[in-house]
Amino acid sequence: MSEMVEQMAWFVNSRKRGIGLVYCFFGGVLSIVLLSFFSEKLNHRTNGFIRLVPPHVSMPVKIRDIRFNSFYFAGGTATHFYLANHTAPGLVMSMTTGLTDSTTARISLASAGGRFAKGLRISIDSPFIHLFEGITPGIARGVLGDTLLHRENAGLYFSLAEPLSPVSQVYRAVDDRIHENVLVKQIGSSLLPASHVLEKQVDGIFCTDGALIAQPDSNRMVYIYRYRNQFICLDTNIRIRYKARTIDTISRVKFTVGAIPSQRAITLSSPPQFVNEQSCVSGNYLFIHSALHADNEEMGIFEKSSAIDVYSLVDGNYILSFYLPDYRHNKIQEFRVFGHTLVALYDHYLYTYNLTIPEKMRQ
Amino acid sequence: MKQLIVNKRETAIQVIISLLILLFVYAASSKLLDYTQFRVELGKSPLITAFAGYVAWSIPFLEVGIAVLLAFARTRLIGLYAAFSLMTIFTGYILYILLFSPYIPCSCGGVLQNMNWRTHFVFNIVFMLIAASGVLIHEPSRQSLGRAYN
Repeated sequence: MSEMVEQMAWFVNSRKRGIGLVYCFFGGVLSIVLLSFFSEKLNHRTNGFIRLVPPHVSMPVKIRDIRFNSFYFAGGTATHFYLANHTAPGLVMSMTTGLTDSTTARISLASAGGRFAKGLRISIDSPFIHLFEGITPGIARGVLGDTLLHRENAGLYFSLAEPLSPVSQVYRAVDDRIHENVLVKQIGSSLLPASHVLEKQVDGIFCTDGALIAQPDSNRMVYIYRYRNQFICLDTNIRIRYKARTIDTISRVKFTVGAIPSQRAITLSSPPQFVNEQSCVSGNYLFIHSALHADNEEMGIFEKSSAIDVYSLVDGNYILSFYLPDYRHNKIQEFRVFGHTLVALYDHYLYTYNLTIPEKMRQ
Repeated sequence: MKQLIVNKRETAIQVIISLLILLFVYAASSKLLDYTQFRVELGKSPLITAFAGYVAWSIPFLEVGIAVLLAFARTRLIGLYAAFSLMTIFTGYILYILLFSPYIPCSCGGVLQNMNWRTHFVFNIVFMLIAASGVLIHEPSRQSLGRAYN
C-alpha cells in the first residue's frame, strides 16, 4: 500500500513537474521573442531616405554559366571584359559583353619571379595587365597576348591598388607613423603619399575602409567609404576634386573597435553598419550597391534583390536607383558596367542587363 | 524491487547533475577566461548588440549560479528547472540566429567554439532533454526538502 502511495505521489508530482517544465519552456521562448522584438526595434530604425526608381532602367539580357565561382572582374572595354581567377591566378578569361565568345589566356607567374601571396589581384587596362599583391608585397606587369611578365618593386605594403598607367599606380596603405590608412601614388620608384584624404572617424583603419576605383582616361579616381555615406572624387594626383554624400543618412561610422589582448588582435566589437558594398564606375556614372533599405521600398524587394544607386561623377549628385534581383538565391557578388551593359557575377553565373538611363537624367 | 528503482533513479540523477554541472562550469569559465573576446563577439550578434554589456556578465554569472544550485541536494530541483530554462533560452537563441538573422555571428568560447551552429543546436536540445528528464525523475519533493539521504 505504502509502495503504491509512494508511486502515486511520484506520478502526481511528476505531472506537476511536467507543467513546470512547460512553463519554463515557454518562459525561455518568450524571453527570446522579447529580445528579438526589442533588437528589431533598435536595429531596424527607418533609414530616413528614399530612392528614385524609374521603370525599365535595367533589363535582363543573358545568363551564362562559367562553371567556377572563383572568378572576379579584372577590367574591360566597351565590348570586352576580363575575368581573373582567385584559385588559378595564371588564367585570364576574356569575354564579349554579349557573353557570346570567350577566350582563355595564360600568363606566366614564374616569369614574374614565381610565387605571389593569396591576396593577388589582377587588373587589366587593355592592353596592359597589372598584378598587385600587397602582403609580400609584389607587383608585376605585362601586355595581353604575351605570357611573360616582369616584376617591379612595390616599395611598400598595401591593402588596395589600382593602375593609373603602365608606370604608375595608386595604393591604399597603412601609414606606420600614425597607424591610419592613406593613399599613396607610385610613379616608377618614387612614392607620393597623400595624407588627410581619408578621414579618420574611429580608428583610422577599419573606419576608413572602402573601395578605390581609378578612371585614368578621365583623370579621375573615386574612393567610396564602406561604413559611411560618403565618397571622394580625386584626380590622378590624389588631389580632392569634391566630396559627395550617398543618399542614406549614415554620416558617422557606426561601430566600435575592441582589442583582444589574448589574440593580439584589434577587431570590431559591434556589428558594422554597412553602407556601401560593391561599386564601379562607367563614363560619368558611379554605381554603388547600397546595403541600406530605403523608406519607400518593400522589405521583400530589398531582401530578394540588390539596390544599385547611380551618382553623377561630374558633381557627385544622386541620379536614380535600380534593383538587380537575386539569381538562384545568390546575391550579386560583383558587378561592372561596360557602356550600356551591366555584367553581374552571381557565384558561377554571369548575368547581363541592358542599362538605359532616362534621357533627362543623363550626364 | 523498490530499492532497485530508487537506486537506478538516484544513479541517473547523479549522472544528469554531474553532466549539467560540468557543462555550466566549463561554459562559464571558458567565457570568463577570455571575457574580452566573449564580450566583443557577443557585441556582434544581431539579437543582442544593444544589450551585449549586460548579457556578457549575466550569462557566466547565471551559469555558475545554476551549477551551485545543482551541487546542493536542497536546491537541486530548482537548479534543474533553471538549467532547463537556460538551455531553452540558448536553444531559442540559436534557432533565431539560424532562421531569422541576416548573418551568422561567431559563437561561444572553448570547445563549443568548434561546433557549427547546427551541431550546437542539436547539442543544446540534448542538454535540454537531459535537464528535463532530471526534473521528471528527481526524487519526490517531500524527500528533497533537506532529507534526501535519510
